[in-house]
Order: sequence, then C-alpha cells, then structure tokens
Amino acid sequence: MNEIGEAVLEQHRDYTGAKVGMWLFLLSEILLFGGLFILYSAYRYRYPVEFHQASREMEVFLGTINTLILQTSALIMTLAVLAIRKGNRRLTAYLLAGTIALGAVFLGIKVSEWLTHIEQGIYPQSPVLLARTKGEVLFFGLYYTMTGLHGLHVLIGICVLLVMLIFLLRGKFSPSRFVPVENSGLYWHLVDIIWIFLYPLFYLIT
Amino acid sequence: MHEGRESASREFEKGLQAKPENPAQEMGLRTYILVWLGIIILTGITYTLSRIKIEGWEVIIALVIAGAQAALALNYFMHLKSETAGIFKVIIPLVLAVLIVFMALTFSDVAFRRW
Amino acid sequence: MQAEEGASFYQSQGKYQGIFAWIFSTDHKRIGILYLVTILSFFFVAVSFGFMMRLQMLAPASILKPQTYNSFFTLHGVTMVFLVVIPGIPTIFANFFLPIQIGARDMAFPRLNLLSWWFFISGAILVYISLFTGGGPIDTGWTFYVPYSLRTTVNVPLAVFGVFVLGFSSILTGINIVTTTHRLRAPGMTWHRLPLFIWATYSTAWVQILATPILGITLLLIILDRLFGVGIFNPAEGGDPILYQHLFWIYSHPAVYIMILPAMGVVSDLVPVFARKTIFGYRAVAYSGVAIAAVGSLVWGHHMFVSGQSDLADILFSLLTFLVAIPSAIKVFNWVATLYKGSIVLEPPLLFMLAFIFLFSIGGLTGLIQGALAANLHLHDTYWVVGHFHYIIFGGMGFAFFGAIHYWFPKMFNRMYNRKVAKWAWLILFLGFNIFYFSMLLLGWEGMPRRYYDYLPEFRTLQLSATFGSWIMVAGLIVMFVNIFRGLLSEERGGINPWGAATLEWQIPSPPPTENFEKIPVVKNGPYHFEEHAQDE
Repeated sequence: MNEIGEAVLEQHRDYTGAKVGMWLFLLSEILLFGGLFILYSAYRYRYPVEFHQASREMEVFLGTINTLILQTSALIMTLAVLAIRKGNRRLTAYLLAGTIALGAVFLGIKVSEWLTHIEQGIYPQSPVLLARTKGEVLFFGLYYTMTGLHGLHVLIGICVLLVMLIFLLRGKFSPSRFVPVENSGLYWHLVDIIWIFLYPLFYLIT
Repeated sequence: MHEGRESASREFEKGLQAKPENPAQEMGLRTYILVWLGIIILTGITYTLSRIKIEGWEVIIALVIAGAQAALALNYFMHLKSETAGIFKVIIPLVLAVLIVFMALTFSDVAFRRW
Repeated sequence: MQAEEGASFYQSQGKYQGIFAWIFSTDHKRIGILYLVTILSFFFVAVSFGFMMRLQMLAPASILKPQTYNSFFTLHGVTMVFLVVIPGIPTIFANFFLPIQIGARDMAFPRLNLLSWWFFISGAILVYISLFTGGGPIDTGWTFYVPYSLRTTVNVPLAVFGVFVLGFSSILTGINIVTTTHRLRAPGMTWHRLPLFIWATYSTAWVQILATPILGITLLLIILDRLFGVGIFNPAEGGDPILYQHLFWIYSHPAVYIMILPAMGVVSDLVPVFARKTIFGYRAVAYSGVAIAAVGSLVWGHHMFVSGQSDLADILFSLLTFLVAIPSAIKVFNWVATLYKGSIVLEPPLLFMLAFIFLFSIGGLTGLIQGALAANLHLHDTYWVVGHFHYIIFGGMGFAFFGAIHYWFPKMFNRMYNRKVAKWAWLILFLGFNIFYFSMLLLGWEGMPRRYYDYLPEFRTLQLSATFGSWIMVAGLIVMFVNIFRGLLSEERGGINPWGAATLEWQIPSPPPTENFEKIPVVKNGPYHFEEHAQDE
C-alpha cells in the first residue's frame, strides 16, 4: 500500500479508490431495496394464496421480455467499458447509446404495464383493488412501490449514461481515464441485478 | 512545497504505471458473451420451472437461480472476480449477511406470533 | 513553538470569494468548520425546544397547548437526533481530523464531502420549512409511528422527506470515511497504528452505509402511503404497523451506535493523552468497537417488547441486548485501566472524558435494566426511558462532543479558552445534568409516562427537580459556550501541541495548512507514544 498510497496522496487520483467508493454506494442501494424485500417476504409469508391470486394479473410475457432486455443491456454496458479501455471511443459511444436505448425500451414496457393495470382499475386506493382481499392489496402496493423505485433507478441510470456519453464525445475519457464509465456500468448492473430478483417474485408466483 | 510534490509525483507515477491497477483487462469479449448466455439461459430455466408446480420449493428455487444470475453479473460484468484489494472480497458476503440477519430476526416475530 | 498562521487553511485563496470560499470549498477542514457552525446552531435550537418543554412540565398549569407540546418534543427529537447527534462527531471531527490522523491531504472524495454538507443543509431546511407549511409542525414524535403518522393532518410528508435527504448526507459521509481509511493511510500507518478515534469512526461509517438506507425506504413508504394510499403499513388494508416499527428500528437502533461509537473513539484518544500513558488494550478497544457496530445492529426489537411482536422475538432481542453490553463494558474497563497509575493531567478535555465514563455507565446499566423483559413491561414509554437515553446520548455523546471541542480547539483555531472557566462550566453542567436526568429515572420508575404534557400531582416534586436541574444545566452550557467563543477572540495562542499528544494532527501547525503536510509523513510508531512528544509549555 505504501508506494501506491503516497502516489495516490500526491496525485489526487485513485482508480481503485474510486471503485471502492462506488461499490460502497451500491451496498447502500442494495439495503434500500432490501428493506422492501423484507416487507415483501413478510407479507408473502402471511398471505401466500392472495399473492398467488394477485400475480395472475401480471403479464408474464412482458415481464420476461423486459428481463431479457435488461440483461442484454447489461452485456452491452460491459462491452462499452471494454471498448473505452481499448481506446475505441466511437464503439464506446455506440454501446453506451445502445444501453440507453434498451433501458428506455424497458421503461416503456414497464409504463405500459402500469397503464394496463390502471385501466383495469388496479391501483392504490382504487375501488376495484379495495374490494379485493388484503393480501392482494398488499401485493399491488408492493408491486407499484418496488417496480416504481426500480424504474426510477433505471431512469437515473439512463441520465447518468447520457452524461457519460456527452463527456465521452467531449473527449474526457481514454484508456487511462475511464473510471466514471466503469462506475456508471456498476450502477447499471446493480439495477439489472435488482430486477433479476424482482422478476420471479412478482411474475412467476405459481 | 510545490516543487517537492512534483518530483515525488514523477517518481511515484512511474511506480503507478509499472503496476497494472487494471485487473479487468483479463476479461474479454468471449467471457462476456458466455456470461450473458448463461444469464439468459438461467432466465429461461426459472421461467420454465415456474410453470411446473413444485410444492413449497418455488421461492427457494427462484432465489437460487436469481442468485446464480447475480453471481455471474457481479463476478464478470462487474469484475469482482478479478479485483485484488481485500475489501472487494468482503462486501458482497457482508451485505448478504446483513440482509439475511435482518430478515431472520424480523421473521422471528412475523412467523411466531400467536395472534 | 509559534504556529505559522500565514499558511493556514483559513488563508488559502481559491476561485471563490467570501462566504462562497467556504460553502463551495472541498477542503475537509473547511467542511468540518461548516458542519461545526451549523450543528451547533441546531443544537441551540433543539435545546430551546427542550427548555420550553421543561417549562411546561414545571407545574401542572399549562403554558403550551397540548398540540404545541407534541410538536415541541417531536422537533426536539428530530433536531437532536438527525441534525446534531448523528452527524455531530463524524462530520465535524472525523472530517477535520481523519485525513490528518492517517497522514493524508484530504478525504478520498472531497467533492462528495461538500455534497454531504449540502444534503445536510437541504434536509434541515426542508424539515424546518415543514413547520410553516402544509398542516404545520409534526407531532408524531421523532419515531413517526404508523398509523398515526399516516393520519395526522400535520406536514408529515415534507418533514419526513427532509429526514430522507439527511440520510443521503450520512451515507455519503460513511462512504468517504471507509474509502479514505482504506486507501489514504500514509506509509507505515498500518491498521494497528491508527488512532482509536479512526477505528471508531471507521466502524461507525459502515453502520452509516448499511443501516441508513433502511430508514430511507421506511420514510419513503410513509410518504407514498400519505400521498397515494399504497397501504403497506395501513392496518385497514392488511398492513402491519409492527413491521413499520421493525423497519424503523432496524435503522434507528444502529443509529444510536452511530452516535456513541465516535464518542467512544474520542474518549479512547483523549484518555491516554491526559494519563500520559498508552491505551490499555489497544486491540480490545479497537475490535470492541467493531463488535458494537455488528451486534448493536441486531438488537432493534428491544424498542418493541410491548408492541405485540412474538414472544420468541422478545426473548431473542433481549438476549442480544445483554450481549451488546459486553464490548461496551470492555471499553470502559480499558479506559479505567489506562487511567490507573497514569500521570493524570486534569485539563478540561479529561474532565469531559471522566464524566463520559461515569454517565455512559449509568446510561448503559439503565439500558440493561429496561432490556430485561419483565422490567420493560413497566418501564416502556415512561420517563425512565427518557432518562436512560439522555444519560447515554447527552451524558455520553454530548460530553464527549464538548470534550472534543475543548481538546481540538487549539488545533482548529490556534486559540485557547480560559481553562479555569471551562472547568467550572463542566462542573455546573455535570451537576445540573444529573439532577435533571436522575429525576427522570425516578419519575419513570414511579410510572410517569413520556410525551405527556401534564401529569398527576404525585409526580410534582420530581418534575420540579428535573426542571430546576435543566436550568442549572443550561446555565452550564451558557458558561461553557461563552467561554469557547471568548477563546476564539482571545489573544492566547493554542500552540502546536498544548496537550503533548502523539497523534499526527499535533505535529503540524495550528491551524493546519491547506494541504495538511509539507511532506507525507512516514509513520514509525503507534498513536500513544508519548516519550518523543514534549508538550509546548
């Protein structure tokens, strides 16, 4: 640590340290969603039949497509980081744009799912929902909250990646200076991982 | 004071460049494609298994598969596998332990109420 | 040795002028001062709320409307907990001294550090705006329990959102502290040569990162339920209020360890200096802090013994609560062993440390008493609990905080306060404190409920003594702070090392220059090696 420590101290730039900071932030995001997962598990334990009942309203096809879209966007993002490490700025730009595009499609599908549910009268405090069992009300409360919070994070991720794209086009990144892109990738992957857990818990309850 | 810093800088910059602080260089396109395929296939598996009724085990199976997908993403896409600094080995086990303990203690209430 | 003031961090010129050179500064020392000024301001506000509450409780006649009283104890709690005690030592003293103590020029993420302060200010402003908008000042208690917090017509959403923003500040500070400690230690500064203040702050930072998000999500759910009726905690829709309590306390219990661990770190650093003797059991003190952070995150259910949670949960949480007392006791034993046969220098900082040890012990032991299930049945939501947590938080963290101010004052400002007056202030504070809060322990034992704006005649005498104690205590606070402010304006210089300490901050000028060190030091000794470090005077 000693030589690197002194170099870090003198140069004010620390590649590993920047990643450590980002990972610690990701831990806090995991705990943020973790609270919701704790609630989900408690309520599903208490209302197993009603959760199953409610999940029949979910469009498994759309959810699965969205899962594949997000997982593919994760690959594209990883390749974007690889590209900038190799110095291929143009390719990096295309891959970042591709990630953003897939993220936008994900959000579009998610919004359309929400709109479908809302049209069917299933939303918080709706007469249709309140007429159903408590377990179902809780399922949808958790559904809107968890997918909503996740969607917000997708949106934030898209904005972050747009900023990265702009900085890239302004020439701020190179094979020796790319940690913001890598850190943005870490954030994007976390958003993907959270969805990996949301998908079976909301769409695949048998 | 500033000059001292600059010459020390130059000296240590050489040191920095000599040591590759860039562990992710070991993974390439092939690895990433394979990992992606693995994740996609696991999605297919979890979907298929959900159509079969496996009494009582559904949640666990779903979580195990999701966990495997997450492990692939963490280790390869997020380069955890090739990180050398000690703290990286600790953080995921740590956050898992924290979540499990929080959930377990909460369930010591939720699952054992007699009313 | 005269400190060279011309090159201090106060003098540095950047691209900003005036106040902007401070509120846009990424220098960890300036940010520490920013926090000091803002946190002390909030402390005075919160003390004022408390003072008014004591006036109300002086006699059965009412000077406050019940609704007002409810808002006062809520705001007193929210301000003290989120704006003073949780940020207190980490944001002021860790920000200022962590980089210096490890031999670095700044924190790992200086701009993030500034952002933390801006989140802090923004969150505070949002909370205080909520007093004058929406339905008016919150009356839920700082714990925001559902279902009341979902139904009360006061401005819960904005206040709770303000606290949510404050959570960001805490998380980012935690990230900065952990990364800095891992990455920026000077050559030779191994983990086991770190000052114990760093060990304590480091352990705390992990709790800040891991526990605060749970509060974040819980507060978000309150807002979502009030705005959209999502129903997750609403019993009418199948929601479970006890689950709210679980989520709330999963953060808020570790929060009290965020409060006390850095304070314990201060004690661990100061006691060796004023006993002229290295700490007894360095590793025990260091690791017990880690253990407190870990085990302390598992005891939250002891706030919920009478909530209706299962018997199994009651038993488990009570057991864990007793277990977490062990590492705390280890620290107390080690501090006392450090003092034993030491060469005691009874300066103001040490007086505050001695008071800490005494008051924290009382607070901790009363905590064990209420951690016993049978006793808790009678003591829950009484003045006993209020007395307990004021002993721990105020007697503990508060006194350590004041001690830290008195200790690091000469380094931060190159001035010195009147030490004799400081000792008198301490004595008045200490006496007032104990009359005040011991009365509360007795009141609670007798059955006086908390958060009540009035009481039965049988509680009259003790309420009187509590209020009188509070007046003496406030007098002590006034004397202490006036003495500190006058010290700022005085002619007397602080010097480089007035206490003869051995940690790195005492080897650089007072106040420190912007880059802290001319050359990054190479560390060869532990932090309590006093032989080579003669005092200034």
